Amino acid sequence: MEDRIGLVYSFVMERCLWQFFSRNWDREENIRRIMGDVAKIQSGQEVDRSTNIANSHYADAKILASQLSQRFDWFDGLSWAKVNEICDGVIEKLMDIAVVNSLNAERNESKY
Amino acid sequence: MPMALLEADVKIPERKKHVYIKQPGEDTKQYLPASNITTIPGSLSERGCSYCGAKLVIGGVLKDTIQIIHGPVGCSYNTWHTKRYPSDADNFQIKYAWSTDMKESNVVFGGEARLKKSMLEAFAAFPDKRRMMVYTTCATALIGDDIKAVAKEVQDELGDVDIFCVECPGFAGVSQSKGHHVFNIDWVNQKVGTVEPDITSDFTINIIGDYNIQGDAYVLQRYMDEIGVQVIAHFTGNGTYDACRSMHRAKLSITNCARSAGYIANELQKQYGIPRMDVDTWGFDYVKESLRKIGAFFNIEDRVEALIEREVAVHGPRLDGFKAGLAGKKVAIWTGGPRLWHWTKALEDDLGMEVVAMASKFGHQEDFEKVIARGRVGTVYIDDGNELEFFEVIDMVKPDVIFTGPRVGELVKKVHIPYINGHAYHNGPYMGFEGAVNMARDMSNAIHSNLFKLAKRDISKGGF
Amino acid sequence: MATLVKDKPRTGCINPIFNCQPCGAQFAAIGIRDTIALVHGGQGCCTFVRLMFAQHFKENFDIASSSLHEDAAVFGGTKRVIDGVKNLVLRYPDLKLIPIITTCSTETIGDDIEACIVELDAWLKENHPSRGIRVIPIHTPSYKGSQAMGYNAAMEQIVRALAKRGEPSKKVNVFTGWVNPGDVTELKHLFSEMGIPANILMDTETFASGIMPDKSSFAYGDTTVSDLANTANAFASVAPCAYEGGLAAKYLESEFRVPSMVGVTPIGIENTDKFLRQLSDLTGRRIPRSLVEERARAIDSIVDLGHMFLAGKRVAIYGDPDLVIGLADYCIELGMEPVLLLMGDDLKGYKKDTRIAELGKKAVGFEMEVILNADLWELERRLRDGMKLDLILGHSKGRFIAIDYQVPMVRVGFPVFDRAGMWKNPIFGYHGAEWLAEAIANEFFAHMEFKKDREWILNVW
Repeated sequence: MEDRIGLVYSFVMERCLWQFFSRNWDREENIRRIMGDVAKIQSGQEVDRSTNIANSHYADAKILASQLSQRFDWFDGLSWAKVNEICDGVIEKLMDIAVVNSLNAERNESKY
Repeated sequence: MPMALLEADVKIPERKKHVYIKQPGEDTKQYLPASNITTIPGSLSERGCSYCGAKLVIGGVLKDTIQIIHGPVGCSYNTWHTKRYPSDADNFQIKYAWSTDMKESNVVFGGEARLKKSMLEAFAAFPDKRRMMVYTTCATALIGDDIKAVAKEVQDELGDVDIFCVECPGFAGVSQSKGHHVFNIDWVNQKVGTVEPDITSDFTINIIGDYNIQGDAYVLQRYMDEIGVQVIAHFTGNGTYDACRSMHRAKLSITNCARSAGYIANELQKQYGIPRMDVDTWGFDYVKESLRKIGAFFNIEDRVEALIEREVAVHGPRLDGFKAGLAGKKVAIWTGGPRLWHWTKALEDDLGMEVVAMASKFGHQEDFEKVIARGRVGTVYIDDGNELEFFEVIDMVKPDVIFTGPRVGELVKKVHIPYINGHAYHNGPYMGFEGAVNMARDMSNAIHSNLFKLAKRDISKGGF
Repeated sequence: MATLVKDKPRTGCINPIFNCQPCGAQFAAIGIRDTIALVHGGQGCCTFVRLMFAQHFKENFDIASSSLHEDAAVFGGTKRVIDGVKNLVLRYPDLKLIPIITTCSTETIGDDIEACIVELDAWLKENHPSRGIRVIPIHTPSYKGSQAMGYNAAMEQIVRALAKRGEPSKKVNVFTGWVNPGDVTELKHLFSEMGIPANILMDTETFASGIMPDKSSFAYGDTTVSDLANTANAFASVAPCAYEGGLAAKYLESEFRVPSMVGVTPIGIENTDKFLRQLSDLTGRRIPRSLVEERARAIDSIVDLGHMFLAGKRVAIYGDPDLVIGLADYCIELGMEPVLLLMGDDLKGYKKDTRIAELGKKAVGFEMEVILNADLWELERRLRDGMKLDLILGHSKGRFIAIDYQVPMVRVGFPVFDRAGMWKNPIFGYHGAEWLAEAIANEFFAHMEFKKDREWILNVW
C-alpha cells in the first residue's frame, strides 16, 4: 500500500500544480478536496459540484483519476476502502510537503 | 552538498542558499533555494526592476490602452521594442511608448502639471483610444507626485476615458515580480467589476497569465472558440482594458503564468468565487490535460476530445518527426521563473530530452517547490543566477541548447552553445499542440546547426 | 528657402528618439578595456540598456547594477555601491576600472558617490594594492538631457578622473562620439593615411568578436586606462561629434592646454574634406594621394546614383545630433531635400549651432523644419497629415513609421536591431559616404520592386 501511495504521490507531484497554490489555506483545500474527489469518482460516488469552486476541484480530480487509471493498471479495480486509503495517504504526504513542512515562508502570509 | 557554493561565488558566499543540486531522495522539505530576496549588488544579476514587471510584462500587452510613463524618458524608452507580443489591433501596443519626459525642474518643483498635460496630449493624439495606464517610476515616486489625483482630474475633464494608476517604482521590490503583484492586486480591487460583459455562452472563462507571445493567445482563443467557451478576459495577451474590467463574470479562471498573475486568480476566487485552475498551456501532452480539465468543468468533454483528436492527428506526427533528433539532448532553461516548471517535464516526457540546469530571475519559493518537484535529480536549480555562475554551470552540465534571453544568448554562443529565446521565442507560438511542435523544431534547428560544428574547427591545426 | 527651427509643440513624449543619460554613460564605459561599470539605481536602468546594446551589436557587454531596493530609497544607497564595487573587485580579477554611474533615483536621494569612492580607495589600497583598480564617479541624472548628453558628460567625467600630466605625446586624442565600430575603423584609417598617431576614445572596433574554436573570444572595448590617462599629454584633441565627446576635448584644452578641434563631423564628401583639411592644419601633415584616390572612387560611385536616383528626394532624419546635422548636409550634397530634422532632446546648444544655420542657407528650393526636443510622433503625425517623404534616415525605433506609411528607410545610428550587421559599416569618411549613398539607392531599388513602381527602370542601369 505504501508503494502505491508513493506512486500516486509522485505522479501528482510531477504532474499537478494545485498542491502548490500560493497560500496554506488554498493548498490544504485543494489537496483535501481534489484527492477526496478522486476517491469518490473512482468508487462511483457522487461528487459535490454545487459551486464553481467545487466544480473546479471535481474537474481536476476527474482528469487526475483517469490519468491514474491509465498509468497504473491496479488503480481501477480497487475497493472504496482501498482507494480511500491511498488517497488519504497521498493527502497526508502532500500536506506534509506543501503545507506542514514546506520551507516556503510566503505561503503563511495573510494576503495574496 | 545539495545547496552548492559554486566556484564563482566563493567571494559572495551568500549565493550558496540560491543554488541547489538535487540529489536522490531529496525533496523541498529539506532544501528550497532562497528566492525573491535582495539582489546582491554588483553580482551581474539578470533581474529587471519592479516597474517593468508591471508595465512591460502585464499592462503594456493590452492592445487598446495608452501606457504613459511618468518619469525621465528612459523608463519608457527601455520598455519599448523589447517584447514580441502582437495583437489583432494593428499592434498598437508595441508601436507606441509614452513618457512625461520629466526634467530637473520637475524633480524640484513636482511633475504633476507635466503629467496632466502629457496625458491630455496623448488622448488628443490618439482620439480613438480612451483607456490609459499611468505608471510612476523611481524619480516620480521619490518626489511624491500624486498620480491618482491627476488621473482623476483628467478623467473628470474628458468624461469618456478610464485611467488606471500603477504605483510601482523600479526600486519597489527586488525584481520585476513586485510589479506583477502591485498590478494584479490594484487591478482586481480598482477595476474588476466596473464593466459588465455581453455573455454569449453558458461556458465562460478568464485566461490568466498568458501574454500572447508570438501569438500564444490566438492559439488558446481558437481552442476556446472551437469548444464553445467564451473568453471573458484574456489577462492580458491580445486583451483589452474593458474586458479585464469584466473578469468577475467568468465561471472559471485558467491560470498559466501563476507567478505574474496568480494573485489576480486568487483574488477572483476569494472575492467572486471564480475558481483558479492552474494549467500548463505549453507541452504537447500537458495541453491535452489542460483542455480536458476545462471540458470536465463545463461538461463538454465530447467537444474537447474532438478537438484533441484532430489536433493530435495533425501535429502529433510532426512532433514525432523531431523526437529522434532531440532524445537525450541536454537543455538548460534560464528564464523568469514559471517556464522552468512548465517546460521541464514537458521536454522530458514529450521529447525525451534532459533538462540539466534551470535558473529563475524572479521566481518565488513556490516556483522552486514546483520545479524541484517536476525536475530531475542532478539538475542544477538557481535563483537569480549571474553571469559567472552561468559559465560555471555550462561547464558542469554541458547543455546542447539553452533557453534564455537574447543578451545571454549572445554570450553562450561564444562557448559554442546555441540559444533559443526563452522569453520571446525564436519562431513561435510555443503554446498549444502546434506550439509544442514549433518549440521542438526550433530546438532541433539549433542543436543540429552546422555552423556550431564548423565553429569548433581550428583550421590552423589541419586535419579536416 | 527658410529653415524653421522650433520646439516640439507638446510637453510629453510619444515615441522617444533617445534613452536617458545613464545609457550614454554605459555606452562610454563599455568602450574601456577591463572595465565593468556599476549603475547606481534600479536594476532596469542597467538590464534594459544591456539588452539594447545586445540587440544592436548582437554581443554581450558586462555592466553591473547596485540593485537599488526600497530600503535604499529610504535610507540611502551608498552601502550598495560599496558592496557592489567590492563584489566586482573580488570576482573579476582582471578589472582595472569601475565607473559608478548615477541615475535619477540616486541623484534625487542624493547619495554621496565621492564619499563612497574615498572609502573604496582606502579599501583597495589596504586589500588589493597591486591591482591598480580605479573607481570613478559619473553623474548622469536621467532627468537631464538624453543618452547623447549622458555620453558627452560621461566622456568628460572619465577624462577628468583619469587624465594625468606626463611626457608629451605626438598622439591626437580622437573622441569619436557615439558612433559604430565601423566608423571607428574609418577614423583609424583616415588618421593612418594622414600619418597621424591617434589615441582612439573609445576604441570599439573590438566589439566585433568571433566564435573561436577555443571559445576564447568575447566582445570588449579596447581603450585602456592608460590611454585615458595619456589624453592629458596629447598633441591635440579631435572630437568629430560636438555633442558627444566635445566636452572632454574642451576640458583637456582648458586643463592641460591640449588644443581641440570640435564638431567637424566627417559625414559626406565635403565634410570629410573639411575634416581632413583641419587635421592637416592642426598637425602640418599633408593630405596624401591615397586619400585623393579614395575620394575619387567614392565620388565615382556616388555619381552613378546622385542625379538619377537621389536628387529631389525628400528625407526625414533623426538620431544623435551630430549625425543628424552631418546627414542633412550630406543629403543636400547628394541633391536630396532633408525636409525634417528631429533633434531628440532639449539641449540649449542647438539654437546656437552654426551648422544648423548653415544648413538653412544650403536648403535651396525646399523648406527644412528642424524640431528641437523632438519625439518620433513629430514624424508620424506629419505623415498621417499628408506629408510626402521619400526616405527616412534613423535608428530602429522608428521602424513602424516606415512600415506603416511605406516610406523607404535606411537604418543609421543607435540602436539598429532590425537589420543585420549595420554597425559594421561606416557613415564617416569617403568610405562612409560611398556606403551610405549605395545603401540608400539599394533601399529605393528594393522599394521600387516591392511596390512595382518603375521597377523596370533598373532593367538597363
